[in-house]
Amino acid sequence: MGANRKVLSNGLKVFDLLLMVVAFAVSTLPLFERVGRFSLAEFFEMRVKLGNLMLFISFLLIWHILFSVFGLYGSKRMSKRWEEARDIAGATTLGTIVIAAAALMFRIWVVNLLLTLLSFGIYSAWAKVRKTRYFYQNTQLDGHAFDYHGAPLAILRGRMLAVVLLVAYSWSFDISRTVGLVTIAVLCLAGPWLFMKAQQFRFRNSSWRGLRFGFDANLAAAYRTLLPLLLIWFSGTILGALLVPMTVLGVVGIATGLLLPLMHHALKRYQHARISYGNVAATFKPALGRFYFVYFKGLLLLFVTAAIGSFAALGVMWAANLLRRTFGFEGQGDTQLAAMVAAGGVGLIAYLGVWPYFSTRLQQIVWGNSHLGSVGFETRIRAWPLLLLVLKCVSLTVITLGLYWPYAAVALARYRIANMEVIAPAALNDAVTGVSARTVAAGEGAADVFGLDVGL
Amino acid sequence: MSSTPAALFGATWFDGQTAAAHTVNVDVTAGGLSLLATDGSLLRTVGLDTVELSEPCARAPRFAYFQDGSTLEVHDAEPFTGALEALGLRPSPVARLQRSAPAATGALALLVASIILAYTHGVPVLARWIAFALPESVEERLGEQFEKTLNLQLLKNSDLSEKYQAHVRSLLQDAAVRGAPGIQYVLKSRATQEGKVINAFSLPGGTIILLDGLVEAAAKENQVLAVLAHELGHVANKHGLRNVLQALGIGALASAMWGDFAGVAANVPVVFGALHYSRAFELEADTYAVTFLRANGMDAQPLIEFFELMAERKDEGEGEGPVDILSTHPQTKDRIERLKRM
Repeated sequence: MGANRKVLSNGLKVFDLLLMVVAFAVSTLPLFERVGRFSLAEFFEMRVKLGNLMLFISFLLIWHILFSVFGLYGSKRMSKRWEEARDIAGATTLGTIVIAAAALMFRIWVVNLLLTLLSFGIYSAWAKVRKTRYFYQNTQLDGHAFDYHGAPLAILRGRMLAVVLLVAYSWSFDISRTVGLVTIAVLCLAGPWLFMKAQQFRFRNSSWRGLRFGFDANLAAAYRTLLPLLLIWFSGTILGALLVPMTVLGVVGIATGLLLPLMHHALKRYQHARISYGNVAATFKPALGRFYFVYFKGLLLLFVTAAIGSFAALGVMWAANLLRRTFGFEGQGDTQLAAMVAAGGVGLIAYLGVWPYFSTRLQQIVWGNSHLGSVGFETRIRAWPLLLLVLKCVSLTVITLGLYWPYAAVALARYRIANMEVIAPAALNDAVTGVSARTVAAGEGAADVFGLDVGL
Repeated sequence: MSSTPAALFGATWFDGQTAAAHTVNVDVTAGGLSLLATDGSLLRTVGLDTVELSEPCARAPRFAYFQDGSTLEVHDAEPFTGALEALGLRPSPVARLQRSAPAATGALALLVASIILAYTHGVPVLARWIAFALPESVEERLGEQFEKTLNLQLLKNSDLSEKYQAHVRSLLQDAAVRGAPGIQYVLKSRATQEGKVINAFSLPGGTIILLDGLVEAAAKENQVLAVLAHELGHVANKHGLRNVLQALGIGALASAMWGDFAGVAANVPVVFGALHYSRAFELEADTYAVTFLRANGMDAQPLIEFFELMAERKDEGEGEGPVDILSTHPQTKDRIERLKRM
């Protein structure tokens, strides 16, 4: 569905973080054992020399080759799959969603990015509206396009508030512990309201067939659901600031990790059970057990890929060392940088390897359990094709220094939407309005900057 | 007006109260949008000035929003847009830019040019302006944070005698009266927790840290003074604060460009960009040091000597790589050459 499509770009920030941290830890352990401790001498004398440059370039090259090979296969497989999926969709369902070509997205992206830069970021609110409209209006369900009505000024106000909160969050602990804790308290208190407003803004400004979507913004329910999540999320920071012993912190950290699927599930449940279209309300069937299963399997997969990645990185480092010796560039500082680059590479491998699995499985669960009235949803997205598509998009975006991004965004959206099946959307024909259009945009901007819309 | 039969555009009308779709044909005339039922009967005519139109967007349908809350979804979007333009109803300037390939190409060229310009001129100039406009307390606060972290993780108290530390302080103080009048600084002697590091550095807010390793390595006292003059150059030009501000600026630039794509990728230019700026600062501080020394009746010689000493040590030890394009400090040999020309 249009409003929930931003998944790929905004992604699972929570999971990303965990992934990167774990991957980094796993991969740096063996590397740093070799390297030894990071001393000030090396810190000051660290220079990036030709050897490192070559190491870095060889890394890029390896990735480039890997990516383009995969990308090539990916696009072939993809088109076959896509056509197949489209045929099945045409035959078995009433609704298919089609999204138009990417060329215009590139122009929209370029023009809006230029205006954003020239206006020192102020135009970004208008850019957001134009980009969202592009995706919505080019997405059709049952022969009719979606539409987006968000007001840029409202989004700008929200973004300004979000920037203030973000600055406060990142600098408050530098001022003093009290200020930091007060800021966290403010964030915890404002967070549920902001999240609710963001959802409300997003859905109430989305329409299909001339009728707006809605979001049941019940403040009490928002606090009941989200305040515990925020408290768990910030528990490490709060306890860290209160200088509790490391063991307590460790236990709290593990507990937070164990509660992560629960938090994620509660968030999805809050989101998906409160959407409405006219007078048709959405429902969400809880699936906590399956959330835990996917998280568990994702973590296992992560360890496996991180281990493989570490070996690969060690191999590359060994090769680079050999290369350096052969060419006679010696240096200590190099090893740190090499370790960092290698760790980054391992993080990337783990991320690219596990994320598609994780994201597709969760998406299947979330959409399979969501209903809008009698209308059901089914996603046929598969982890392997998605991985290949992501690899292709990422590599082309990196190689073109970002210029490919608009095409990538459209390709990813197209894949997702083409593989989303809306079962019996004709049932929505009878929907009648029950929603007023007025709302506040403060939350929308905040959701953008904070990545609050952990969304699938 | 001649009465050539106007083209009709296929559309769907929604009343805004229900999701029911009404298939209509639309006629665009100067009198407004006329909605015709499939049998050709006129349903309604709405004045163009009362209709709000969505921007044209690829092959997407165009929407017309009526004042009564109903919506028209025009499927034949491109001819519909053409008919509106013939009546003088052109899309907004931004929408026109987005539609035109030459405009997009121009925008791309401008985008690249403005990013380069922002990087080479915009960010440094802005950072400099902000650095000198910000209250001193902000800079001091920042310096204190840095110092706290350094003391905790990397530094310890100096092993030099209190008397010798005081001697170096007064040496710099006397020279600063002539070389750097009015510059607020605090000189502190420190040693590294591990190993001997030959270095001195300045923190935002004016704190200069002199490491024992440098004092021991220097052949003459005025070489230490020359290095301290270089550090005073950083202090006088607020390089520490400007470094932080410039990193923030590049970060903002990068996230505008690549933020949609990946947060991590947006950090890469920050690191490389900051290295470039830092080299420019080193050269600026070298120039300052020479002026400082000349004000005290000396020339660039002590600084040159010290750099040569460092280069020798490098040659004996690990050796410096032939290419240094990514380093925080410029190639020592280049700096020596530059100082000799001054």
